[in-house]
Amino acid sequence: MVLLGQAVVSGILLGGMYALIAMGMTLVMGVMKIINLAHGALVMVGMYATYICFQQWGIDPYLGMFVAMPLLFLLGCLIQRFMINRLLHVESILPENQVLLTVGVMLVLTELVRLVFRSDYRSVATAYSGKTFFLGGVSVNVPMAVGFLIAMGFTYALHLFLTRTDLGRSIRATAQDREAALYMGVNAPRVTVITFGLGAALAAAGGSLLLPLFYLWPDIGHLFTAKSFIITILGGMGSMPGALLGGLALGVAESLGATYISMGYKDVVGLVIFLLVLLFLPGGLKSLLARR
Amino acid sequence: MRHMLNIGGIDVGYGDVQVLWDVSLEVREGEFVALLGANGAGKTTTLNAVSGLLRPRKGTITFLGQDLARTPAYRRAELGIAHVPEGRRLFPEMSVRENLEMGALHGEARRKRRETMEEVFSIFPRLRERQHQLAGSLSGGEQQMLAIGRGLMSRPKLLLLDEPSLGLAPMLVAQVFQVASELHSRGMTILLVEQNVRHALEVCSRAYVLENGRIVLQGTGTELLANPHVREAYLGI
Repeated sequence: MVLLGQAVVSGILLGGMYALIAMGMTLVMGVMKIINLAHGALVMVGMYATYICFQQWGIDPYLGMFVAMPLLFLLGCLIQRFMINRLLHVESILPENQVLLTVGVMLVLTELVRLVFRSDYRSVATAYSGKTFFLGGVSVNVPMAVGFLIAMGFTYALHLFLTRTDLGRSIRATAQDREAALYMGVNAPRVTVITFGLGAALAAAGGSLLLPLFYLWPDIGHLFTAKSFIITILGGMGSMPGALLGGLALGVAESLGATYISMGYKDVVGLVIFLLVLLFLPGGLKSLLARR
Repeated sequence: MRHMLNIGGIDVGYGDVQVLWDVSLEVREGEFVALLGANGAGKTTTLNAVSGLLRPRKGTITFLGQDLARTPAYRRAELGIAHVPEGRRLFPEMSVRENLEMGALHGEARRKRRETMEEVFSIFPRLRERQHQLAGSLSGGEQQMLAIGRGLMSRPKLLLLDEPSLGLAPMLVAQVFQVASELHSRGMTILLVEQNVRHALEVCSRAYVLENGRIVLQGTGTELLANPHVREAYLGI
């Protein structure tokens, strides 16, 4: 019973951080109608930014993320403004060439980082890295708990931004009906740029929160692209509450898989869920919520 | 009367398909102009050229004396053009209130948002009752009211109404036309696109008839109601 509780708790904590990353992908998915396959690479770049802050200037990762986020926001804006938006006007055989472009961006970012930092495994060792505390018999890893709380804080802030501000509402409006948003006077091209920047900043935030928990190397991005993709599908594409639930669900599923099957199979559990959802619940968790 | 909207000989198309051929029309301040025609005649295309979603290949569109050729679509709401699109095009997963707020994003409309929303609620009391409901959960008639209300939120100088009666029960159709003529009598300038020719001609001051992308007839509502071609082709008399 304690083992189960342990697995569920650490799954939820980890899942909250996954969810933050997946919300970034979901935002872009909603507005641009494409899966951004460079999303994990953006997580990775954000992690390196936070890592450098720690390594060079001794800035704690939880503060370093506030350096990484604006940096990644800018990088995201530039990618959207000068690369993806340019492709919108190109007529070609494949309408999804923006997705292919994001694959290119992913490769370039990954290899650029490899060029500078090599493929070496890196990690940050903070004073709290190995610390745990007990919560009714269940041991909780401190960086996991802190990361989860910060991730939920960001989630709430994002929710307020999307529902209470004109810019946030314009993002949702553009996602729901781009033409109607234009009729209302929403500067849709600008909204796409800001959305992609925001998605990248969320990737950086999630990555930084996971930095004390994961080894860092240039290819770690693929892992996060896969996880965010699974969560986005699981949640129902473009749904923010779905992404949150999906993130938590994936975290718990992985944790249960690692506990009861084998540590080595924990990623398989996520992929199996992914297939099952596609086969039996193609609308994701969102469709379950809507059925109520 | 001042010229509000002036369309001068525009050709508009999608890709290789040309839809409008040398279309000219004008709307003066305070007028209620109808643009009539069958399905596929190019009515919606004309409105989309005015709101900037489509660019004319030839010809000009001026609004209050300003050439719109270089004005992107998202700046036209700010100038005073409100487009109530065909099929309502609400933001289905946003509340009624949020939809209305989306109508007032710029300048004066944004500053007077609360005030304008009260005015919209007084025209459509149902929307006040449903303000926290998701737009997608409204009935067809309520959705049309919301679409018009959202258009009014920008405090427009010109209201473009695209097929507001489409898909509504006869009683609601009459209500929509009544709202339109009420807005007109309060001084709103309206360009209405309709397939419901009889109703439209009864409420409008002037009308144009589009056939296969060309303006074939124009005149006052009464003139066109008496026109033999209109009677035969559109009124079935």
